[in-house]
Amino acid sequence: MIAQLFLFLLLGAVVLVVSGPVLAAAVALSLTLALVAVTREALDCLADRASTEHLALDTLPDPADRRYLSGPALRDHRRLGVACFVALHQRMSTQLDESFAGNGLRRVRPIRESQVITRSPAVPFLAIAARTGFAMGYTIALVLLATTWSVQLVFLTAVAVGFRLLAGALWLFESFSLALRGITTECPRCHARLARPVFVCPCGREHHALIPGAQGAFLRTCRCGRRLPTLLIAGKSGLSPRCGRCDASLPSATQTMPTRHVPVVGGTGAGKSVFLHTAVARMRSDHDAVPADPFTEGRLAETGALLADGRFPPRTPVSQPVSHTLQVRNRLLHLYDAAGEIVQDADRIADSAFLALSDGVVLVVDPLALPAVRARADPDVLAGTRSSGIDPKTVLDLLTETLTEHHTATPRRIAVVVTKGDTLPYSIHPYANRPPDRPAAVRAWLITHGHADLVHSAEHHFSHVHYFVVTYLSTSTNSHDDPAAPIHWLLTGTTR
Amino acid sequence: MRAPTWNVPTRRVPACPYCHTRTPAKAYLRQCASRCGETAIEFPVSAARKGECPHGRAPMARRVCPACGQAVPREYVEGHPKVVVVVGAEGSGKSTWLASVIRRVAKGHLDDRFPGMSLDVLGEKSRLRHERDRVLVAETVLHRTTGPEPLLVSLRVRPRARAVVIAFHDSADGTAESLAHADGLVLAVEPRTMPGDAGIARLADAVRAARGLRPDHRISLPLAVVLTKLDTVWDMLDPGSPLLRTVPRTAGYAVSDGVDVHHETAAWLGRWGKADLIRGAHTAFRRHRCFAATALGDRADGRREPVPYRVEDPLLWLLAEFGALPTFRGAERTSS
Repeated sequence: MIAQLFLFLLLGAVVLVVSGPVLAAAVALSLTLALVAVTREALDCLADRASTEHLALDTLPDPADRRYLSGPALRDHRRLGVACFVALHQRMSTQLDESFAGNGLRRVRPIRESQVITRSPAVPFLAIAARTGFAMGYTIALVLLATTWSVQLVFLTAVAVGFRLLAGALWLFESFSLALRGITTECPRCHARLARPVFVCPCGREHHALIPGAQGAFLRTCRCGRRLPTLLIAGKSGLSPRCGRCDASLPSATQTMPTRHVPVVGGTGAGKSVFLHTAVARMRSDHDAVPADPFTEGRLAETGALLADGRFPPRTPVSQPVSHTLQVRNRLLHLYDAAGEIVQDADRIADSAFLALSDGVVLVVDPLALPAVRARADPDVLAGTRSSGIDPKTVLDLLTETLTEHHTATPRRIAVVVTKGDTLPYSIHPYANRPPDRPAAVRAWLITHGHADLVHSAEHHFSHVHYFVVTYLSTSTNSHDDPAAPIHWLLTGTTR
Repeated sequence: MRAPTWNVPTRRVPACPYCHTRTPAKAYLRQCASRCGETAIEFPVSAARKGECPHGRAPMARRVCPACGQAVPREYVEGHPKVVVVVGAEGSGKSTWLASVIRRVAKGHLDDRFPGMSLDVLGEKSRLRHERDRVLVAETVLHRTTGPEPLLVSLRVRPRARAVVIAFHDSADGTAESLAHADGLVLAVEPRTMPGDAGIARLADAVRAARGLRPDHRISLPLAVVLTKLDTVWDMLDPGSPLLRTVPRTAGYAVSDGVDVHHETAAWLGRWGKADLIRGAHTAFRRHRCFAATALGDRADGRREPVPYRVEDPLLWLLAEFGALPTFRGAERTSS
């Protein structure tokens, strides 16, 4: 009895001694096989020839790919993880069910028919050991894979979130710096207020949202392979800006300096175009302003040539005006020469979006349109001058009503500019007595000549009203204000 | 001297001046601009995001009444407009009085009393009418028939003061709709016409019917009875008459002067066989006052342009009744 017990213990010891290595070998073998399978699958996933459709790199509207670390890396990681787990699962199920871990030993004939094997009570123990070893090996492989995948997931998520945060912070930085400097973007042709301009790559591709984002924090790569800066401080302003609504070219200085929009309004023939040209010419001669786009330069040259020949510019086309865009000191100034027909007609002025952009207004008053002045004016002057037939108060009423209807805040400044100062006889000229306070003299002159309504209404609707008398002539018997003074006053609050 | 009284205007949804439909300000319609092309639509003011149309563009700078499709100025829609109905027999001079008072205020002729007072005409239809009236009043006064459109004005009594938006409805009898929404009435009476009550009983009945009041109810609306064409009876007036007295230069409505003018005008109306008018006004209207004015000119003959005389008095009294103008009793206060 004791001997039998001893033999059983001996057998057990032998089984343990033999099955231990079997278990270890099974674990090592299964682990190695699992790692090989996972590694092979991972290499397949990450190979150059592997499909990248799942990354959705080109789903954004702009012609540039998403940055890998902005999100596609996570999609790649998820796909890699799924593939590895599937490969591991397949390998494990195959080997545990059908490989030599189960009935495999019995498939080998010498072993199956061997008396030692068939009669040995230790064989089942060895099979169990091998099976357990394989299970342990694959479990260890699974744990290793899950741990690795999770660590990678955490790391990649941190990187992606960091990338997005960096891009967002850069975008906020640029937005806040633009807002703090009062820089906005508006189209001088369609008068749309734009969130940002469209920047055109030298290859011709248009980038509608060239800002820090998923396509690049500091730089993005255009489809042409050129790297484009996403920030103004990184050189974005060197690209060609365009309007995203009407595709018109924007001035190159767009988004580099604050913009100011100043419509010049008045009745037909009040002298708006001549005043605008004279003011701009004076600003250019004083080196205060330069045309910001070729279109403005061309128009100024055209009007200048006409005035040099002693001719007045033709009537302004009755269409929504394209602004004269100037770079004035550190500002981008849009001057709108609106045809008189627009500001005299309720339907046309209601359709004028440029008024909604106004930061200040120049109201041009033709003195020869005032009945009290016409009555005392020289008949020859009246015959030789094209005068406005509309009451300036009517223009002001339409203007203020339109500004009120728009969602934007009403501008605070209005410059009331009496043009054609050279046509006024000395006796009725506002500056005949060389008044020390010129704006007050013009104000009193307007009231005296029956336009208290204009003065009071302007002073009610605008916080700051300044009065000027100008002429397009460089020399005149009476003194006049500098034609550029109204623009300077609207921009800076001072006439110089 | 009593301090000026200022009433706080009550908030209410203003009625469209054209169709008299009460519509909340956010329910008025805006229109896409021409840039939207064929996709242009009308949308409620409340649907505009950042002031832009559904296509992301600046809409037309106007809003229209959803009931009648007429453009109604924003200042009228979002303000606290007062409706003044001007009634009177045909040819009684109500349109001329209205055109004259508007021109007088707009042109700054009251600057000595109200420095900086200004008047803006609101809306294209009102501007067209104002322009037509301006020519008529400035050059000659012609009898003509007035259209049914109201005259919308925005009046500021002082610099930077809150605007008082007024819709003047000018018709012979006053439509039921305009009387239902009226805040003040002006009855123009021509001197030396046929004796009678000048339509005061008919007016009172129309107001009661329009506002659903009992037949014996005293109407609380202020009524200004304006004796027009005063220049035709200059010679009948006594030199010491309050009607010939210099208009006080108060920066508000002078009650003492108004009461004197009221009694003198009432006496003259009674003398011309219009005692029923005075009696009817007293019986039917809780607040009423008589005025005498001329849009053609005062006694200074030979002037090229008409010089209106006391045409602004009824408007100033109505403004004082609306709480938009300070009132002064007794001693005068000259404007500073």
